[in-house]
Amino acid sequence: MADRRVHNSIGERFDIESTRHEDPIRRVRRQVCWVVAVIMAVGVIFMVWEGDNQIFQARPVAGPHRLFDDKCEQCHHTSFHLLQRTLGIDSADFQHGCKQCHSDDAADHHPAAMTEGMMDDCTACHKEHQGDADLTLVTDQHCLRCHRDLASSRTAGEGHFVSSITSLADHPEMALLREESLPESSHGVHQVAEWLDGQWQDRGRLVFNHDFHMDPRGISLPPDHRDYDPGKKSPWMKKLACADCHQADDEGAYMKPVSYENHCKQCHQLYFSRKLATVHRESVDTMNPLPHEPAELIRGVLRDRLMDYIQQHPEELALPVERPVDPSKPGSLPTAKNNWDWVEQHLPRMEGQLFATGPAAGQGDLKYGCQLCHQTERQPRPDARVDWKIVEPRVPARWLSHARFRHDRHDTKITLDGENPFACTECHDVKTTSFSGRDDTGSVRAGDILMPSIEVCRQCHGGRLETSSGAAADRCTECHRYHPAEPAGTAQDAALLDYIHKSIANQSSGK
Amino acid sequence: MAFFRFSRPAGNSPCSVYDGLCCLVYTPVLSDAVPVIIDKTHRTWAILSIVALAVLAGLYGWYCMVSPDGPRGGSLPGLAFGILAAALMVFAGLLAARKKMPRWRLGTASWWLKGHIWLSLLSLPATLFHTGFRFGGPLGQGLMWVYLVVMVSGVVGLLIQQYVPRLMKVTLPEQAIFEQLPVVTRGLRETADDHVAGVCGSLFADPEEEGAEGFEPQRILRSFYLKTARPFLAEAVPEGSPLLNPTQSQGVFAQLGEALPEQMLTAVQAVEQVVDERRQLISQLKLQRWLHGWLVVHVPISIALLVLGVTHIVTAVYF
Repeated sequence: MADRRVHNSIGERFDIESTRHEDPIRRVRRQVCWVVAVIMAVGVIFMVWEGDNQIFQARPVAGPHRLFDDKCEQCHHTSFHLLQRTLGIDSADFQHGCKQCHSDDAADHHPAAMTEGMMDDCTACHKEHQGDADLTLVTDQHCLRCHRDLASSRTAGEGHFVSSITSLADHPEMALLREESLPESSHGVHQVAEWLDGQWQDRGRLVFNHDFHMDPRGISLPPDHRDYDPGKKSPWMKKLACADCHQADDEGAYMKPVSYENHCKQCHQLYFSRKLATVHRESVDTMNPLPHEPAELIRGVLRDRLMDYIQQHPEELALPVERPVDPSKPGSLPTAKNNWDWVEQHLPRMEGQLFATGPAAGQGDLKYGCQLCHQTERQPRPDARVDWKIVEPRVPARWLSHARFRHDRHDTKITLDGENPFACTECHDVKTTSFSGRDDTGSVRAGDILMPSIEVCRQCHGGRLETSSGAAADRCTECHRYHPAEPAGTAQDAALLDYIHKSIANQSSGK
Repeated sequence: MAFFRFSRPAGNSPCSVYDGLCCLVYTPVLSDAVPVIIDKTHRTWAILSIVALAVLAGLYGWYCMVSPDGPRGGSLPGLAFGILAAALMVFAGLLAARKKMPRWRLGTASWWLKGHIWLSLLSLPATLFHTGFRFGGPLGQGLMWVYLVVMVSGVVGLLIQQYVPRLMKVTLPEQAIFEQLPVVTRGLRETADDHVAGVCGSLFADPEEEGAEGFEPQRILRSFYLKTARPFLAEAVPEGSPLLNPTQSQGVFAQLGEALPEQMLTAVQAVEQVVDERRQLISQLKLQRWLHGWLVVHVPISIALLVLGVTHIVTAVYF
């Protein structure tokens, strides 16, 4: 049988209308395309109409901002800003809306950083939409933008800071401990210290001996001290610890200022004269100390007590009065004519014993005047009298103003041996020696600076976990702040609370 | 330059699709016997794409090093990568438009196809550099997954386009024009009918022959043809037909030949030839569906990619 395929006509062998029929695969493809396009368009319209902007976020916002993460306009005040900036038609003052909650009073680290356009917006360093990340943890690279080469990134003429810092490893020594002076006009170290005798010394004007107070054998207690215990073998001795005077603030970050009332008064009662201390008191057991007040108030108190005394003992009017304290000029003054004259004759001597230093100091019958702890100034008057003034102590409340620190987080350290307490003296080098065998290695001067060296910090920060040291982060932000401390209770709190209240109200009403 | 040649199977008997794929997998030999899509004309595109990839990777590496907070899509370098990736995707999508406008003198279709392939591949690293190898939020994740489906389907389609035509050429010597398959199938069926009718007298049994001696071979042949072979020659092939497998088909026809007298063997062989050709047409249909069916995934998902991409760009720029 012949093969028909050879002999049949073309019309019988081929479907000449095949080109008029659409390929079924192509038809299915076209239909699926339409379906997909419609579904996608409807989906996008639905997303936009619903108004849930979280769908469009690159990543979730940080936890503190979750309250309004569906309201992009809270932070993004300007639309199409990126396009405007690219085309050069945006406002130069554009910033994200951070400052409507975060205080507008927060100063920045250095004005040069703002004027040179390095950080013209909070988002230059604080990147949102990173998920639940801590926005305050800024990477070191932001700091190193300037501090890697400080000389070329700021105005000229301010060369007192180290020009290049790249990590904690090459961080310079604390200015307080450096063996070089720094210009007073531009470095914060002058707020707490002064350059004397080739080293930095405490700028405070108190007289204090750490070594004496930290004697391992203890210090003598007066009988009326709260820790005086007659039941003990040595009731009059107490070994002081750092925490007896240095106590952390409520946050645990820094130490509260040492105050006379809280820390010194128990031992150092201002009993200058038994005679004046027992005025209006029945016995020496109830002596009335002088108040811890400025010199002019002390003068007033002394005058009152002298007056009270001479009124109680009028017979002493006839006694000669010793000259005011001045061993170079022995002799006595004429007897007083009246009580007031008697008071005015005795007052300068009393003041001298209280405030003067040198041989005239501490000659009261109970010893020790203000000059035991304070520096005093002598201010001669035209009438040959002397006014005394106690030099303001000016004990620094904060030593390293360029850094931040939390003492509470340094209570213990985690090493290979486990968690161990962190002694104060591990950082603050106050060597104590026995009183009798003192070799002057302890801090005997108030001018001694007992702040730790940067090497102490490096033992843990950036170090490896060892038996003697822990391992802690060494980021710039561990110790330094870009924004100085904000004042408390400002617009930040008010704005945030206001927003929270409104949000709660809206949720309750179903909005 | 062709990368592989398929070794021809023994004799000239056509392979099944399975046999063809086995040839593809197990017997590759360097040869330029069969033309392929990715050939030596793609060399320039490949080199330029590799160079571009190296440059982009270097830029990305430098960007990662200098960026304080790591790579981000919203940074200027990140945006640059994103714009580049979008431009590459748009170019890739314009291939469809170019096909609709064959008279446009904007490069040949071949050039556009090469650009579509290589620039689409280049868009993948550009996209990853833009995202910083992250998938982002809900819209970003959806966009990224859609994009990956488009890319994977495209690569699958490229591989299909690369190997299936050659497979068809080697394993299906009797293939016909795809649109003419129904007509050709009908012709094969008529031919086979003629062969069987020629020796059996008729495809339908004569009642007088039932039970009569001497007509057994015709009954056998007719029965086999009507029950097994002819359904195989219909438009819709029954599932499980023994004739789908060439080895099995060969055995069936050998067995049939032993049961029939010699004068009927010629017809049997002719029917076997028709069945073989029909088998090739079935294979051709399957491969043709693979050859074009992958676009049913690739093209619609590309439209989804387009819609989501525009949404992403607008919302990102808006805020």
